[in-house]
This record gives sequence, C-alpha cells and structure tokens, in this order.
Amino acid sequence: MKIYTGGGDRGRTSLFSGERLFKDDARVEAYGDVDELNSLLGAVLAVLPDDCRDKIGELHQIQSDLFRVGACLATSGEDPSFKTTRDLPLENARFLEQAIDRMDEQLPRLSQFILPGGHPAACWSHVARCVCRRAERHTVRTIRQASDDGKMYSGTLTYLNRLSDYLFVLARYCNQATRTPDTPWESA
Amino acid sequence: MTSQASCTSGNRHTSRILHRQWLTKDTFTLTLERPPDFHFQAGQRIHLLTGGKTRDYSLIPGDRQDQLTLLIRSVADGVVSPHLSRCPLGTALDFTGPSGHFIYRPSSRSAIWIATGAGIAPFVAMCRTGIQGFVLLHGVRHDDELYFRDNMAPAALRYVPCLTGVSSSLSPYAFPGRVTDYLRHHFPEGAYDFYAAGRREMIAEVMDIVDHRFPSSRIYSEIFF
Repeated sequence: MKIYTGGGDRGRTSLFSGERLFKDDARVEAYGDVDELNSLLGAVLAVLPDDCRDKIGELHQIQSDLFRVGACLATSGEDPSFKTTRDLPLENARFLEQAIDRMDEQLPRLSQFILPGGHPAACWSHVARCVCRRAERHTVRTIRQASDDGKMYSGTLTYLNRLSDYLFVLARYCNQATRTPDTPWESA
Repeated sequence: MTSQASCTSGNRHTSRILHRQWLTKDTFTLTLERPPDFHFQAGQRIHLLTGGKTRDYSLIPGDRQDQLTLLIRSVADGVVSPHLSRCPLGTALDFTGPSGHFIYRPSSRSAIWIATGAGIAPFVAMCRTGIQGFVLLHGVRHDDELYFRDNMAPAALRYVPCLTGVSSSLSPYAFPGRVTDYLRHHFPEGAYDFYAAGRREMIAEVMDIVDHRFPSSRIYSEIFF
C-alpha cells in the first residue's frame, strides 16, 4: 500500500474518523504540534549526554505516548473508532510526575527564572517544552470549538501540561549532568 | 492521517498455499491456511514476505474458518505477484499483520463503497461479515473484472458497475465511465460515509469530489497499486 494519496494536495486532510478538514483547523494544528514535539524529543535523544542515558527509556515511552495522543486528537469524539483511540489514562501523567520528582531531587532549588539554554540537549528540551505548550493550547482550542466539555481529552490535557514541566526539569537535569550552569534572568 | 499510517504490526506467521483460482487472465485468488492464532478485522491486510520482497494484500475470509483468501492482480513486470501466480500449491509464505484501519464503522449515514479493480477485496471481506445495505461503485475496464459480483450485488442497496472499456459501454446494467464520473455527475448530494479502495489517483479525485459535492461526509481510504 502506498502511503500518499494526494488527497491533501488542495489544503484539506482526512481525520482518522473520516472527516475532511482544512489543514489550518485547530485540530490539525494540535496533532501537528504533537508530531513536531515528538520529533523534537528525537533531537533531544540524539544529543543526550552520556550522564543522562538513564532518560532514554523515559523519552522513548513519551514518544510512544505522543503517538497515541496524536491518534486521539485525529479522531473526533463522536466516532465509534474513538473506542480504539482512547484518551490517555491518567497513569501516563503519573509516570511523568514520578520522573519529574526523581530528577528534581537531584537538582538545586530554583530561586529565580533561568534563561533557556545551555547544553544542546537542554536547548532542544526547552524548544520541545515550548512546542508542548503550543500543542496544549491548540488542544484546548479544539475542545472549545467542538463544544466539548473536555472530558474526552482530559487525560491528554493533563499529560501535555505535565510533559512541559517534565521537559523544563529535563533541561536543567541535562545542564547539571554536563556541569553547564543555568543562566539566571537579570531583570533590567 | 500520518505518514506512518501504513505501518505493519502483529506477529510473524507462516502459511501454505492451498488453492489458486484465476478470475481473469491477470487476476487470481490465492487461498492460504489460516494460522490458528491469527485474527483480523474485515478490511485489514497482511504484509507478505517472499523472495526478499514485501507486499501488502487485503484479507478476505476464506470459505472455511481455517482459510484466508487474497485477491491478487499479477503485474507483468512485477516480482511478487508473478511469483505468487506460478509457485506450486503447498508453497510456504511468511507474513506479518494484520494491519490497517480500513474497517467498517457503523453510523447513521449511508455507506458508499467505491472500489477500482482489486480494491474490491476489503469490501468483500466486510460483506462477508454480514454488512448489507451499502451502495457499491466498482470500477473496472470490462465486466469480467467485476470480481465477487455475485456475492456483493445481493447484499448491496445499489450495485453500480462502472465500466471504462470501450466494448463494455454496451452493457445495459452498467455505468459507462469511471467511478469518479458517476460520483461527480450522477450521485445525489448528501452526507455519506465514503469508503474508497483502489488506485491513488482515484482516491485523490474522490476526496476532491467529496470536499466539494458532499462536504458533510466522511471518507476512509486504502490505496492499492
């Protein structure tokens, strides 16, 4: 089977649940952001310092979760196929919380804002964090436009919210592991 | 949805060829043993591995529970399909799967199935699960290529063969033209669930027609070579 149809050559795309949408629809933006985020995690993995190899398994798990998030967002809630592309359970967000707590225990307490930067893995992690926030915003917009009360994507929203926190802490973790100092923000 | 939508999943199986039946001079069915631990949904496919090459084929439930059937068009300059058309019965074949999301999704909208050539295979599988009341547009060149017509027509609310071969235009029961011509000019406007399986060009055209003539519809598609 070929993977391209040409059906999107005129600015529309098909959801997993069959609807045709313009490619600038909030829903398409949302799962596009998730795809971008997943690719950025690949960039984080590519430059992950040796002292952070323990994060490889976590990041692969997150990439796998994001595939599921993308499939969920690409399926309208009223479609029966949604049963097979269910929202993420809250356990997946708990996984992130535990990972955050483990890293945080090893980091100095943060008393001021820091500038995004440092080791390349930290830089990519910060970029991924920003894209994660954008994915979250577009997911919220999708829910609001669909007049959905958000329950259908409650696990996804929790996960994306927690993932941006994870990526912030991961950036600091990578900087610390490579003895790259965080740069504090100096207010004018 | 994504460029990875066609990825293959599932365990690796080995099966033997039980039967081959030629339907036309270049299209045949291949009946395989069904491994006891192999389950699939109508409309899904397997990823066949043979001679160092791989090809996807839609699955049709066999006449017996312990059999699977593939509908194969032998491509003259191909590698896999000519091999499958000639290899002896009993030949062992490896495959993985099932995979794919081209499955029937019940809804309040009418189901319009659109196939060209061997793209009829997933619809035959769906029909064999007992689905009825669909509209089927099957596009082929000549009426001898209307595979499984005897199975599909009785279950369909409307069965429309679309024949593009010159001599076929005389067939009184068929639409003389392409499935997309029928859809564009003869199909009543409304909101439907379209299922399209066949050549990429057909699917792209169907999507364009749906966007403009049937804007509240849904469409599911599967590309065949």
